[in-house]
Amino acid sequence: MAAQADIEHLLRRTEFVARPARLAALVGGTIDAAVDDILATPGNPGSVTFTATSNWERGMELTYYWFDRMAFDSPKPLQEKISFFWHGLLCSEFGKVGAAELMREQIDTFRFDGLGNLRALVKKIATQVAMLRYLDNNQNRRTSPNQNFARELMELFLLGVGNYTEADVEAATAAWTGHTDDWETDAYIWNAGWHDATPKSFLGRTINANPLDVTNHAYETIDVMLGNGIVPAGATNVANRGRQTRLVVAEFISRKMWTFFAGTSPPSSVIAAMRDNAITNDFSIRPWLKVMLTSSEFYAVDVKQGLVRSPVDTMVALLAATGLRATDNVPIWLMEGMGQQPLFPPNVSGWKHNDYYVNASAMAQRAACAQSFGWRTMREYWEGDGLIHLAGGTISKTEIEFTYGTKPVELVDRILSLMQITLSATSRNALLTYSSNSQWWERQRLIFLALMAPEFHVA
Amino acid sequence: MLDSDITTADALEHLHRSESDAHHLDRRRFLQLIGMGAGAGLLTGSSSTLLDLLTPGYDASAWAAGPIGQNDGVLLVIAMYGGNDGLNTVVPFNDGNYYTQHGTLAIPANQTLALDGNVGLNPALTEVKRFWDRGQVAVVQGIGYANPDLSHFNSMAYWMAGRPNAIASSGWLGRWLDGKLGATKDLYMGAEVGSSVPLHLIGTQQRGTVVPPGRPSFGAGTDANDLRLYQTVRSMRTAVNGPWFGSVSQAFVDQMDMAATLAPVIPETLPDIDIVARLEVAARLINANLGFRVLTAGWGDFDNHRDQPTNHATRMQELNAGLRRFFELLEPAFASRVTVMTFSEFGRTSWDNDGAGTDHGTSAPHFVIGANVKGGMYGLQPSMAGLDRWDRMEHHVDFRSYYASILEGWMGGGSSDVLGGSFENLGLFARGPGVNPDGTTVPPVVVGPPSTFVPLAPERIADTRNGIGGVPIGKLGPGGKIRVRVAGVAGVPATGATAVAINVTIVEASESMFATVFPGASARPGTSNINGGPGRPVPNLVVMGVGTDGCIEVYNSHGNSHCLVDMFGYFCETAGDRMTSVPPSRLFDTRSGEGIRVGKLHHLEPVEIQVAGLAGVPPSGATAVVLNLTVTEPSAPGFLRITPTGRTPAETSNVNFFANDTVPNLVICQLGDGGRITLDSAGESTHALGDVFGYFGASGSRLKTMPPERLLDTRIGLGSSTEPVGPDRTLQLGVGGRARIPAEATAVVLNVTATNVSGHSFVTVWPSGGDRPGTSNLNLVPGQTIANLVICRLGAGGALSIGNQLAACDVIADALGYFVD
Repeated sequence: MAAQADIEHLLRRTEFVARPARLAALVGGTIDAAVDDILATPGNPGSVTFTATSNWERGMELTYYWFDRMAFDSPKPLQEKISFFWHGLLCSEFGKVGAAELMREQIDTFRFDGLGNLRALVKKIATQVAMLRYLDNNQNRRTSPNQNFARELMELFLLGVGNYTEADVEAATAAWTGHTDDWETDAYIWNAGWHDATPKSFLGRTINANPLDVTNHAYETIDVMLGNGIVPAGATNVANRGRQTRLVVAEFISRKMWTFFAGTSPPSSVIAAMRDNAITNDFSIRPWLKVMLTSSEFYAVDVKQGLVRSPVDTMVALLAATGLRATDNVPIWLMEGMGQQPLFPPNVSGWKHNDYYVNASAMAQRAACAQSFGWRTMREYWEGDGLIHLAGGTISKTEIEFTYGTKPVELVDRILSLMQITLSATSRNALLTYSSNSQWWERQRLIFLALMAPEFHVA
Repeated sequence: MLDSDITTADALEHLHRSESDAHHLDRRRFLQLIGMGAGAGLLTGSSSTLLDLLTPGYDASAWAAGPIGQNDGVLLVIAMYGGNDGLNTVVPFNDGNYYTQHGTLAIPANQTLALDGNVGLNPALTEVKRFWDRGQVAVVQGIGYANPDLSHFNSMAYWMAGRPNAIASSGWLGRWLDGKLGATKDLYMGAEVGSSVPLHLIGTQQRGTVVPPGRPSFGAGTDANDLRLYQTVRSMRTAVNGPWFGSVSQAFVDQMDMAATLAPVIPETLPDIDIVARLEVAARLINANLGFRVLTAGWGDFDNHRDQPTNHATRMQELNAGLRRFFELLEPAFASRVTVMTFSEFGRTSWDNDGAGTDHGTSAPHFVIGANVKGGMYGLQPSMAGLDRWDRMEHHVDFRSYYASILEGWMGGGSSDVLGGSFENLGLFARGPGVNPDGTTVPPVVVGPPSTFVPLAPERIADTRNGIGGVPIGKLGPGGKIRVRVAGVAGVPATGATAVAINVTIVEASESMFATVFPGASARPGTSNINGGPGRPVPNLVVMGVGTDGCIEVYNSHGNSHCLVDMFGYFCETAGDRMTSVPPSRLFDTRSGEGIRVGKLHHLEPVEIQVAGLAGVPPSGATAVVLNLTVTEPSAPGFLRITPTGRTPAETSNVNFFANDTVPNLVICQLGDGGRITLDSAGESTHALGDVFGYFGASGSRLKTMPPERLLDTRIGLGSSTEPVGPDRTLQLGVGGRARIPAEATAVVLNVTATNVSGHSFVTVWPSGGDRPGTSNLNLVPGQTIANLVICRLGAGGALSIGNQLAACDVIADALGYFVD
């Protein structure tokens, strides 16, 4: 039987927050059983239906829908969490892609297939118009090659920098020529006239050679990387020269997973075990993740203390604590300043972690966000039913201003309980002091202050 | 505690010793202790003493901002993300290969801004050209590195790290901060204006901070309930549950401290274009002299694989607009202390790619711009001869040499430590920081010593119409200045006068202009004292520190105008009287007969007014009065003059008016016989009224003058929100604890200007927290910009209320000095 603290940690990392109901369901069992339960996601997680006419607002609808899935609507929020992981790795950006429908198609692929198979996932994403546009492969022609996608496919998506040569970039660029889009209809187009069908040597294998299957030439690059490719002798990463690229891919993605879920520097033992599992199961993602989530290293103290909540994690935690839904006009617009806005990765390398979000400027936006949530929980307070609505129920204006006036400790504990959060003694004491010293009319700010506690911003 | 009156120069000297001590008492911490910093946060709710801060382990993060040294260089680094096309930035228009290879992207020679016979700037870069023409732009050609990497992220990481071909965890500017700060902490030495800390600002021990391109709010409030909130957040600071707890909770505290310091400096309204807004914030941070030595800002996207002509032209226009905004805001005092440099992760291919774009390239030119830059071409334009489609240009200058040239020439050296080796110094600078092109040095920023007032019989000491005071006869031209000697003149002692109270009048201005008065031998500030224009003389009282040369200077912004200066008194450390500021109160009004006989004044008819014993002035002991004098309903042009009763009136004036004007001016006048002043008027009958703001006597506060500094501009939301002051809006202006004004200031000397006036009205200034008095400081006429000096007691929280009952106007306020007990 696993310790409750370990189950809580597992839920915070895989499902954003440790919801009381989920905790109750999993406590008493083993970590292994808990991980299986978390990984057993629904086959059809649904998809947003656009109602807005403007493209921008449709993008917002997609974002709201996704946040509500993360915070409330998914029975197994790992499905949404892993889709955000892929969104930050195989990323595209709404601004450049230009159409909310295309972003929905890509994000839905992450949501439906994000726990399936890496090879299938990458192939599907690579020829969707969102990606063709984002990394300019729609401009990649035999007569004027555009290397952007072919390079990033290796450097940032699968292999990591230093494990290929410029010749491999040029070969992959040729293989990817011809996959383009239609600007009018947003449809995928195969343009045979643009395709460079000359055989190429790529990571020690020959690709682009089958004249009967030219549309598959592009996928051959992925098959080679996840198959029998060899890191060439000219690669700058000396340690990997001559190794099978599928090992390099498995390690590269394993490290990305560890960093995203655990936050600390990846332990080599776990990475090796994850790599071996990925190879054994031919890049099947569920068992791969399970190796990580059931490793003892994942429950070490440094890992439990090792991850700052990303702005998306924070937003989900805010929604969960207050019971507000994303469509309640929560301040998505502050997320850019916090350092992370869904659909808008800063560049093709996606988002970074931890330090990246901890600076005075980003924290100012977090404070503004917490403040905004505090106000929104009071939407009925002044002129409506006089209640503050929180995740676990309501507390009335009368209670805050009068009933608890002489019971500062009880007020703090009641609010924390309604927000379903537990604080350290330091943070709780700070709130108790405020509860005692504040005027009756400002006492409701305890909700905002609880959202400023450091434990609320560490995953 | 140390003497709170220690001067900046003394403080800095003291700190040079302190920096080496075991407790790392750094410059900023010291400045904060002596009350010169603005890090109000640290002091909130605690009783920090020098001993607390000297206790090892005390983790006070609120390192107060403090001024940089006179010879400290400031560096603004502009990053162009995505790989800038150098060939279309500095166009090699004499190279046929460029036109062949760049194809339709190439810019025709006649469209470029030619720098010499071979290269021209992108047509959008007019601002760079302007500085080039002054010899203040170094164009460094062909910057890159060996074994170039074509990945954005690798190449940007190499550039930011200052180390090619290795993924480093620290950046070159961060390591420079390491060298400057050692183990001390400082939130105000290096910052990115943006949303996260870029690698180049991360050192091995230090890291730059982030200033958002917008005004911070949480942490900037001053009400008791705000402070309770902030204190709660401070109390939650702990590392009990691991290092990230510590970092996160500390970052919340840091952001509150920075918000309190930065909110007054950053306007609410910023330009729409991102990089322009960021560079505006950078200029304002430098002007505020908070200690910043390195500011960085970046934008993109320069990665034009397609549609380059439109996209790149837009980027160039944005760069140009950003530079223009930066330099137009940068105060003259910093002109010779600021250098701007650009960088990008790489250039682009010399061949276009058929998609009207270019692919990732290698070397490219970059700009170094500033008053002390030795303008010219450096490095070498890489040859394009024989390049095939996928070939990349060679490089001629290693980017580490580019950095070394900046570090050695501008940032005090240490490049081999920062860059891990010795690299060629290209010699990009004509002079070091703080030395003006004419060889003079930037004078130190001086906050005057606490001084007391000696009133004098009014006397004209300068007049450009007739050369009184030895000033050149003739109007000041656009940008012209006159230097007016005040020491040893009209009763002011030859040495020891720290400030003067003078009435400056602008006459016969040829167009709308403003005049700036500032201490002699100091840099002109970005403030104004008098707003003049054709048709009427415009006076204003000025209380100004005396320069080290015994002079004050008057600057004329536009057109041509005459300037007169009348002396009313001086301040010094050894003799004289202290000021007691009183709530504004009406002393006399000829319309009602309050304090004076009823009815208009007549031409040259003297009227005596009792001051002692009225309007808050005590019956005895007062030697001079601070009076706002307003003329209203005159029937003909003229001027009003105030003289201590019993003295012979001199050829001076206090208020100039036209028929039907309502015009005010502040007066500091010695009290004459029986504690009275005498009012007379040249010109036909006019009404006059007077409001008392303070008096001088044996007890009270002493004046400390400071370099004029803008505290408020409602046009852009500086010091307030971006909205006019009007019938529905009384503005609270925080003064104590802001800029160079300490929280313990009792009163402020403020030049208040109204502009964008929508109708007839008047502006009233009074101490915050008190009732609005029935007095006025500025009388508004639609379409007129008008200024008046205000000396007003500070109210609750060190703030002033500024109200306007009838028609809205924008208000600008420049602080000239403050009073302390």
